[in-house]
Amino acid sequence: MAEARAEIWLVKHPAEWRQIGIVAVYWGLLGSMYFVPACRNVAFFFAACFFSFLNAVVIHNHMHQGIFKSKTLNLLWRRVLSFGALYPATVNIPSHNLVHHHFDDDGQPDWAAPDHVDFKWNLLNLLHFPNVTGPNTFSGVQRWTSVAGRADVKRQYLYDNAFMFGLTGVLMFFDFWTTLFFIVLPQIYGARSILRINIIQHDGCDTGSEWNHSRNFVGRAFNWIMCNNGYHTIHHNRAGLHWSVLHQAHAREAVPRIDPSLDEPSMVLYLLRTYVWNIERPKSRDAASIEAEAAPIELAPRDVRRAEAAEAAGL
Amino acid sequence: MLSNETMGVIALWVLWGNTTLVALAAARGAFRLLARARRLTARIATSDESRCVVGRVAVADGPNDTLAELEIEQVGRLGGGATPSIVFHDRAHRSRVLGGEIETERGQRLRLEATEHAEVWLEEEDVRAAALAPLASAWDEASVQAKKARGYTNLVHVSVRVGDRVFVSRPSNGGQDALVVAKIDPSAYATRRALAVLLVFIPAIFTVAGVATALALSPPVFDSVLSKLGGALGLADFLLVLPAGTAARDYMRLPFERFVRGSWPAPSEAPSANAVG
Repeated sequence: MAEARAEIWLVKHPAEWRQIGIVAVYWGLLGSMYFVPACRNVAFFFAACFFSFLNAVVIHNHMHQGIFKSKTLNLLWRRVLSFGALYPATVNIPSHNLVHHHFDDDGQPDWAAPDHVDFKWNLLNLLHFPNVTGPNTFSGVQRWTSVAGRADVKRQYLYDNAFMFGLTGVLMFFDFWTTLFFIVLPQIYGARSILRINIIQHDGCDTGSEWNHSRNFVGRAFNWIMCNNGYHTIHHNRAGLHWSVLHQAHAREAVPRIDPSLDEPSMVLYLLRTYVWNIERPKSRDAASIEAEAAPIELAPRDVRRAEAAEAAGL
Repeated sequence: MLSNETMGVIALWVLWGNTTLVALAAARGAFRLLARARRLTARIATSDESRCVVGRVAVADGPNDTLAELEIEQVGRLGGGATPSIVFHDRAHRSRVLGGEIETERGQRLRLEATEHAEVWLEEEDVRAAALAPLASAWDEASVQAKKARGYTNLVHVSVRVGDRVFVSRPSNGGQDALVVAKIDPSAYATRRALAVLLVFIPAIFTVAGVATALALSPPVFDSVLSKLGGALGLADFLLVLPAGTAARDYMRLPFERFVRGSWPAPSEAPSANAVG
């Protein structure tokens, strides 16, 4: 009885407490390093960088489905998350939900398409990717918000910016170097890592196909801490599904329709194999045949899914 | 314990590493552009005028004496500003040669067959003028479409016509380079843009990073105002060098794929065809 009450208190889904916990740990790490000199050590710094990335994962999930039942709390949570990544969480509505999910900006490439980088040495592509997709995203958002009917998103975007830069600025005012080294560096690491995920999850895949557009990382521990963000194919195709059930939907719908090589057991091993042990970029493979052989399944066309995403964002 | 000195080294490593990546990407684009320019130059300099020429359009097979055209498909949506306007987004760029003959500056005739494996390079001003010159009287009608999710489709056509002076370069590089029909010297254009990136942009971003570093290392390091100013400048540089890099990339886009975009304000009470732009 008490458990049932706990499940419905404050958040929409009990699994959201994991996300709140991640952000609380991250803020705790940042606060510890800022206020307690003894905490400015390698362990805290690396942990803060890692949790900054997880904070960006929470941004992703929250901008698909608000964590809290209260709309006001959801908006305030955006500010908290924005500070953690030094990028406005609201950006995800146009850049991720409406453009990236459909691999298309109204005829132009996705702002985070892997082929925005084209070094021959593949490691440079991984390193440089956020340098291109970050500005692509912000200029894209600027154009997107210039259209009528998007004033609320624009306003939330400004509030996110005001809070994250305002709080970072206040911290800098009181202790410039500690803020720069132990707050801003982790913030930037997280923001750049979540941008990098796009090349990791899509490079070499067939973004024109319905099911073989993404790479999945299916380790259990990885997906626990990553709030199931390893199951990317099903997330793209069923963006309305709550993150806590993605592993089941992945097994049921994606596995029969994707090339087995797009289910990677470990992201670390994939990164080492793709960017360290191999110099050159892996070539794309045609994976359409496996889709054709699989049993048919109901999946709305991309423009319909985009319209649904826009409606979910209140546009 | 991570000292300020250690963290300062890490921060500078991040700043310089990132600046180097932006510079490498820009240099890669610039060298690719220079290679293209060299291929275009070689063809223009060749004595074999059947392959590459400078001349005037003598005969055009397309409608309205059109030899070639650049078509830009734009989608317009109602702008959210205080002044009503339609904001355009480029959806696709298409170049096509419709067929015709060029009279070269040596007085010879060169036949061009119709093809869509083509690049039509035009002056930026001509394309912008064509994009921003819809009839003002049609604005109300267009705005109705622009309010819908599908938006208002605007097809911008800019043509190369009989009498125009053109540079023509046949497909090269194993067919990767398309037929170029240009109203600007394509080789000079590509060279100028590539050199601007190599000689101005790349030195500039390293200079800014250098200034930030020098300031940050002003003694007493970490305690002086100049040192903090250098730290702040370094952070600003880190954030701003990224859009600068993509701006350099866009600057090197070839004319046949250059973004036009733009907006179409509602006409004033005394409308005229030139009231837009």
